[in-house]
Amino acid sequence: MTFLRIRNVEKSFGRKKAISELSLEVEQNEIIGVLGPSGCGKTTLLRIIAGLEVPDRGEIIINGSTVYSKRTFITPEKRNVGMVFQDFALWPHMTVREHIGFVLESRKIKKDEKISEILRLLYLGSLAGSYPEQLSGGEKQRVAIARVLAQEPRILLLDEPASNLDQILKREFKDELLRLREVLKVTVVYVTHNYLELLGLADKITVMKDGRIIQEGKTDEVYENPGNGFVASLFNK
Amino acid sequence: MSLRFHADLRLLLKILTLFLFIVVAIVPLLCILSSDFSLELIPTFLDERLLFIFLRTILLGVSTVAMSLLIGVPLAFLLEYTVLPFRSFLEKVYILPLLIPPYISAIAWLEFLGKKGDITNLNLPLDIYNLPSAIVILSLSFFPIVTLLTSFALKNIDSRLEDAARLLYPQKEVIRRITLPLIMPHIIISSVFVFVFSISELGVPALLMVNVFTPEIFAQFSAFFDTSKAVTLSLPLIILIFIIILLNRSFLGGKSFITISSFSKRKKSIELSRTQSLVALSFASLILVLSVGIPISVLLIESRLQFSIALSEAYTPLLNTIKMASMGATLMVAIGFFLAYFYRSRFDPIILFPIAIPSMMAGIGLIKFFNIEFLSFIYNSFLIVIVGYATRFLPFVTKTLHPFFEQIHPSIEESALLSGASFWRILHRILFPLMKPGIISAWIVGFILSVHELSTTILVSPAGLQTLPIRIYSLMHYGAPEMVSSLSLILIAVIIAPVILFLLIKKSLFRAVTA
Repeated sequence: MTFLRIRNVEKSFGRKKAISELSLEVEQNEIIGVLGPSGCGKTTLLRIIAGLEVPDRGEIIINGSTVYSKRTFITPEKRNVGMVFQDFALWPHMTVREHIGFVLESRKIKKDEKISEILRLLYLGSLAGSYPEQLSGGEKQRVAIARVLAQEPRILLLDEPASNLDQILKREFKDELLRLREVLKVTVVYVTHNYLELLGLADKITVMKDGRIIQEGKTDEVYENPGNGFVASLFNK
Repeated sequence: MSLRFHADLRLLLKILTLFLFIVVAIVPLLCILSSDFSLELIPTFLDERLLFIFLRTILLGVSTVAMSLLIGVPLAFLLEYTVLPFRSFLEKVYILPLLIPPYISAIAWLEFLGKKGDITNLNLPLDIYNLPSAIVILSLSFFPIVTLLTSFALKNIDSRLEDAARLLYPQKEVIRRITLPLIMPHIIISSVFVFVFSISELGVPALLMVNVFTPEIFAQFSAFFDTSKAVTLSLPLIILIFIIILLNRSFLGGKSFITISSFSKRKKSIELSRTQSLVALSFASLILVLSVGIPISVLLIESRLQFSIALSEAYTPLLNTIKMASMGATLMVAIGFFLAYFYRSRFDPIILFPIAIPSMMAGIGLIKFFNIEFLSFIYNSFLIVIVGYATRFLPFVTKTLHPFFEQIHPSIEESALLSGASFWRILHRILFPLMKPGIISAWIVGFILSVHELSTTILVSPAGLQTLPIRIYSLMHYGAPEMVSSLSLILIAVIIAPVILFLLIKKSLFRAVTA
């Protein structure tokens, strides 16, 4: 079943067209990788899905309900979309516990027990009182995952989440994501410029260039048969 | 040998900088404590009259802070968050009130609503000789400090922090729970500045006959009365301000939440409805009319454009002001440059210490320190005024230079060092050229603050030496609105001229460095 449907979406910033005539469909519980060089519009695409950016035209449907069309705009907090940012964007003035509390509060969930449960699940119990600047890269990553877990989003958007992690943390992050998919039954859109992050994780890959999709398909197929030289170069071929 | 010389020169400059900073900015301020404060004076706190003045001073400071925040913070949000019509114009002009000395605004308002004006006086049955008027005039002068620092913080917040919360909460809630806490250190420090500036101000309360500490100390000092009681009373205030500065720093954990190089800057995100735009524009315009429009118009009308007569009358004070403010700015940039270079933010609490000292206290400290045989060549000449400028404003000049140094990557200097360049050569060929925009900006900040300065200068300047602010202040008591107004406008022109010049050369200046 198609869970996320994007139809003919366009977005310009001033004269620069960031996204042109883009259409995309993602199945429920699927992980889709969006691959492309920086400036190709992939972050804008994520922000449009999240509602952080309003497109110029097109239509976006999540789980059967329209969140953006000519007449509709559902604000971000009502879309139940989760996002993991590059460097994780943890709030510097909040402790780990407060991060999770802040998210749960938005869902009006009674906090204390749930916080402890999430902290335990991600081995963050001993760090509950720590601020982001006191955490290591791996710990920050786990807090970012905990934040998503607390939100229990329908769709999870990832914006270059592993680009500043070392190889071991990248591996761990992949495992955590797969686990998250199982626990939350969430649909994932993973944006990156590094194809290695998508291998063994993404079910499908969509390749973007200059605001357009130039190839899409199952991960293995795209990897084995890049449609042109540009796509091949993204796979280091 | 060259390496050795390099190290020696570096060390020598490092020590000299620290020495000059201590002599100019720290010792005079410590002198306030050494001579005037004693435990025997503790009962002073029970002196009803002084206590009343003390409380009135705090009320003046706190209310001015509150009103400046009420104007300054919303204005910053409007400029940074919304697609406001005429935004780029507003962005350029909201800083103007800061360039008009508050006592000049007070003069204009007195001519308009008080008893001083000949032509513009409205003759309303309105008494403006009171504390609320002083608070309004000071707030209209100082709110740009709040807007400036808040805008800077808003501009440089990593917008992903807000985005992450925006997925969970409506915009208003994100502003309240994420944005405001993140920019709070900047709001607090701007409040500290406004507080100290307002309780340091002599002209406004004196002209409006509001007896707070500054005119009280000035009156007592001028009449050779003992100032020790006033000094003793103001000590808790100094300590309080210093604690706020320190707490604010430790709250930041030595660094700000705001990163200048953050790679995710916010786009103006909130579209305003027609009515909202109208309300926002009316608010911004009203503030500008009250803080700039009315004062300048009143002064222009009252001056009867008698600029040449005014100039011939106050030629020497004008020249003194330009000369001493230029020398003061140069001295501050010289010390501030090396202070920022050698010590970066390491000594921030000490570098910021003079900010906590109200102007009158600084004046008393300077007199206590320099009024000795050995240093009389400073005390009895214009040098004391220049040192006075440095005592009060060095922290601002140094902090203006800081971010410019932050942008010079250490590798630039290291590679020059490795290729055998001497320290002097690194300074001359690398640091000075790269820091040119910083040096010029800092010089202008120092110059403007010095030209403004009244309350320390009026205490320390030797007999016969007048600056333009002192001349205006004393003329104010004899009437002659056209002379006072003309001179006030001339003073504003002297302050604004370097800013306009800077704006004209800014583009080419920064291009030359970043190219």
